[in-house]
Amino acid sequence: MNGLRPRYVLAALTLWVSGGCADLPVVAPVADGSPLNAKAGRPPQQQIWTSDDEYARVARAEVPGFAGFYLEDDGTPVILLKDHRQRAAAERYLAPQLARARRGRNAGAPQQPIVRKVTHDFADLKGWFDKLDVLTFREDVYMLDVDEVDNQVSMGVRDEAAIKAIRREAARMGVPPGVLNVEIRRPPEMRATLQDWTPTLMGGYQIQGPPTAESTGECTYGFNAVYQGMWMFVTASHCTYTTFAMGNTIIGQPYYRQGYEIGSEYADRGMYACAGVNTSCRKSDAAYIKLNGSRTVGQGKIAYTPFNVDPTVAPNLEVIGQYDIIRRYAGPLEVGTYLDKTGRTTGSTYGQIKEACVKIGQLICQDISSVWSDGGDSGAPMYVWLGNDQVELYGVLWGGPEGDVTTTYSSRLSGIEQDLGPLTALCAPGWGC
Amino acid sequence: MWQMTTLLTAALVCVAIASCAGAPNGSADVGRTLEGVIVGIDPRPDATRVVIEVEPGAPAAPGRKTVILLAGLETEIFIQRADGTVHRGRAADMVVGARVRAEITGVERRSLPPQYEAVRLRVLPLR
Repeated sequence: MNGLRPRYVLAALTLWVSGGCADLPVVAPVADGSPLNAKAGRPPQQQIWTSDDEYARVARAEVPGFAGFYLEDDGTPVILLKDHRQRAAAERYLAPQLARARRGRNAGAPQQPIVRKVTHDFADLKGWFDKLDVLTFREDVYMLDVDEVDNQVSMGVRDEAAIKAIRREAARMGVPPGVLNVEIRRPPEMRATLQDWTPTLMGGYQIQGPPTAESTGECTYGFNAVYQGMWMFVTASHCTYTTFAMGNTIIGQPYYRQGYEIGSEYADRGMYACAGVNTSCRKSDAAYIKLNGSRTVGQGKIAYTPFNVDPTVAPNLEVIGQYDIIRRYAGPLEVGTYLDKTGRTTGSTYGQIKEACVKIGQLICQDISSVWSDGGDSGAPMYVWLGNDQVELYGVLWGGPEGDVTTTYSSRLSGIEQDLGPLTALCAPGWGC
Repeated sequence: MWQMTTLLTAALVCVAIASCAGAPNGSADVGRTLEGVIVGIDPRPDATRVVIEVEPGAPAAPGRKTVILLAGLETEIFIQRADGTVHRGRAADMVVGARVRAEITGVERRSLPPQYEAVRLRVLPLR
């Protein structure tokens, strides 16, 4: 017999005992007709075994009447039982959890668990949970939980009408009164950040061009537009494979990886006589990327985060809303005008124009503002914030002075179009621009 | 006549030596400079991207750990040998692991990592 085999068996057993109550879904067979398999109206599917299923099993096996385990705010372990006489069995079963409970911030918590006598055991509660599960398909129901702390089943719903409807349904299902607590809860929200995958492409989100050796090549999605009858997005030219040149670059969101591609470079150019004969310049650091149709186009949309105002504090990149572009910014950009941007590195920030229409290197008529930006924000849409989630599109961010993240260089929309061609459908639907 | 020829020859020799020596030894780099170790080299049509890990304390790019230096057609590249002599070089002379001192324009393109156009690059001898 291989001398290693007993060690593998022991390791497997150790993992099974310590991991048995972890909330890791694993496939486990459940006998037909058991309360745990009561999923009325559901198509047959593999049963997923959760920690709730495990506690329900224990309530009918090692610890009859077991009703759950939790930690109080001060770390005191609390065991819930229908029958106090099962305390020793419960403590044996929960030995790994009790040991884990005394780590980290709870290292100083009382070691002896408190035992509370309750009316319903975990198997009862889980059985009612499973019965009520079908109600979570209603659009006014947000969550369902075996609430071991209060020894009940809890349901979060949208409003008073939903509370009444659910209580009627629960009574019809035979769920005893007092078992089910129904309360109004805020609807859950997806808390994405600008650096996450997004199903709807819009300004502000992270993109990645071809990374160079040992570096990442991350930038920001600028804004959507139609060019030559096709959906594009605009970002900085230096976020593509070759700056100021066509290169058929593939761009991914948020990563440059197979399956994450969103488009390929469609329009870019080198220096040309942009200021007349015998000149060699461009009016923007921008490129058009043709979208490949793999995701929804958020026409005229720019994501935003909470305003980040202190460059010494890590920025909040959580997406909390979307702006509608309702106009192109028109007219001269006076010094003092407020400009905003949303970029993958510093989120939504704003500042004022300090110098307008400046020649920087071979780029003419660029603007310099006190907007906070940093590496990765290149390509970010820059706009004039109007309030009420509406903005005027001004251009794209591309850089700043080395060593100063509180100063930003940007290219105007007019310069972008003069370099690369006219754009339409810049604005949110209904705004006609 | 003979003296003119000698003088002319001497002048020609001096010019030849000066042009072959490239930059004078120990000439100071001007502008914003940073030093670091090359961790990646990516030749592209518009410029070779030299990825460096920046050594702390450099005057330029404070707080940056990794940056991309753009070595284009107009970038002057020099190789400094252990004996202190400095010779003209090419992008192909740069290798991963080499230390470089770069003089940059001061304009930062805010990709991640940020990109800087290198005015001058000097490949330094190993420490």
